[in-house]
Amino acid sequence: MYQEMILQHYRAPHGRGLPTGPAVHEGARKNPLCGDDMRVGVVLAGDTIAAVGFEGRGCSITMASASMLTDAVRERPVVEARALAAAVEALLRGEVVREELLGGDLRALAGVAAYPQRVGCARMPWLALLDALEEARGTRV
Amino acid sequence: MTDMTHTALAPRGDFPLLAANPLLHYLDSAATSQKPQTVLDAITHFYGTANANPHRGAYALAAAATDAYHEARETIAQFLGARDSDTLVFTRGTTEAMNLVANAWGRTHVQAGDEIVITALEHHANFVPWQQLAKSAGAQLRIAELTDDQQVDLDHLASLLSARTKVVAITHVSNAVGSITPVAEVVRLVRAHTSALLVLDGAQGAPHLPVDFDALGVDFYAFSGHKLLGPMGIGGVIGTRARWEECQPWQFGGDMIEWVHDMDSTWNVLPHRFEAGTPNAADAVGLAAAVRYLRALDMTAVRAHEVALLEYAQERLAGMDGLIVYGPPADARSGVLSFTLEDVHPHDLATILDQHNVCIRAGHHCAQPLMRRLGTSATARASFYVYSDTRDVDALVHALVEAQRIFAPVDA
Repeated sequence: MYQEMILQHYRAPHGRGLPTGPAVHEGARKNPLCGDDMRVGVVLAGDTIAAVGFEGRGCSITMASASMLTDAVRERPVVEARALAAAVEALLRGEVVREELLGGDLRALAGVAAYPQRVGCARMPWLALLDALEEARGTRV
Repeated sequence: MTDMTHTALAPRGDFPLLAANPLLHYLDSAATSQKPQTVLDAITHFYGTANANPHRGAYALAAAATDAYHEARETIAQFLGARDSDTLVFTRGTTEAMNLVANAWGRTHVQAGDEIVITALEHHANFVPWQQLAKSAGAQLRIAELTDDQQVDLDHLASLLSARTKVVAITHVSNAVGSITPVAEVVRLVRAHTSALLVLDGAQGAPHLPVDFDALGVDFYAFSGHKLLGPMGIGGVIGTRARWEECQPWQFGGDMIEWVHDMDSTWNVLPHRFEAGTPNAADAVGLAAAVRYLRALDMTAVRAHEVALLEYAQERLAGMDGLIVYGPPADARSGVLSFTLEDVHPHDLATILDQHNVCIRAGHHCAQPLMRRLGTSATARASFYVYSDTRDVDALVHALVEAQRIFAPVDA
């Protein structure tokens, strides 16, 4: 599970810090098992995620997942970000996910599926992202 | 180094799970203990020879079940120093015991303007029932803060006590960091300044320290069987007769009644008044076997064994970079090693240790108010018991070094 890719993101996470400004939509999640928390903020430009960042504390799996998330969804259409979240969820359930649906660093999360107690750690930032996107949808005129 | 052999106080062979897993290093006994064969046998023996519903049925088998349940109560009460065994009420464990006291005594005695005093060390089971009672009664919850090494700050505790204090509920031993409460000093303070109900959470006290209820001077002492080698789902609370008399029934049904009229009912005597429904007789019998096992080991020896392991662990861990160990020195701490390691989240520690067959707990230990005060969301906790030995500690240290190696920052 502790692949070099995960450790790299953990040691130097990307996308740390929430975007600022009135247009930020935010999602927040807590892991009641360990007390960790995660906030993900997005700014949309039309149907595209123009800016994304996270703030929170967590284990290496949570932090690496959040870091990879920001790399993966920045400047991507919302619909693609949602598809990516679904693909990550499938990967964490131990399902086979095709490379074209989910590529790059995120594939390192596949190892987490073997540790059911830790799947929640990897999932937390993605749930926060979906909350943020849901909030954005709710406030759109 | 402390002069110590590898020997545990209790042979691993007595514990089927440990005997079947010779490479397993079980260091999570503060969460739940392993069970000796004698406990499993006692439960099987009850179901195989005496299974009927206690206190019901006029046949010999029902009498055998009643006797077994009654004897279990006497054995356990005696082990915890209560001469009057009818003052021991069985519950599912400490959590239910605290809810019992908060409801059966609290609801009729705590009113608006009163105060309930707890501490920042408390497990949620001795925190939330009082918090919610205070909320519903319009009373004020006061929280005694801690010293720098996570002991109850007795000066601060004393400053909270007044004529308004109706309940003082405090842990005997902290589950999260192991601090042992100086009970005699707390009793003296509480009795000097208040006429409050004094409740001790013994979930981590009864398994690890000699307990003499009649000498303690508290009003209620709650405990859980599964943490002291007994089965899950059985525990209890011992109270003084005077305080039990002040309690109202809190759960209603069979066994706890004397007579049921159409529009009202009268109540059975202690302890049955507070044990509604078919009792968990089989697990009470199992718990009695567990306390007989502990009595044979001798609780003073149990305590000495844990102190020795704690000191051995501290020596082995001394000088480890980035290691913070919480709690007071070993003479004021139960066999609990609660710690954080710089750059390694407790969850990551637990996973890596698991890969080395070392079972520890990582998390907030059901003590979020304490974690807030420590400024962390979680700690890693290794906890010892009678079957633990220095090889378990060595395995822990080895795995911690490995975790540190995996997570070491890379020089840029």
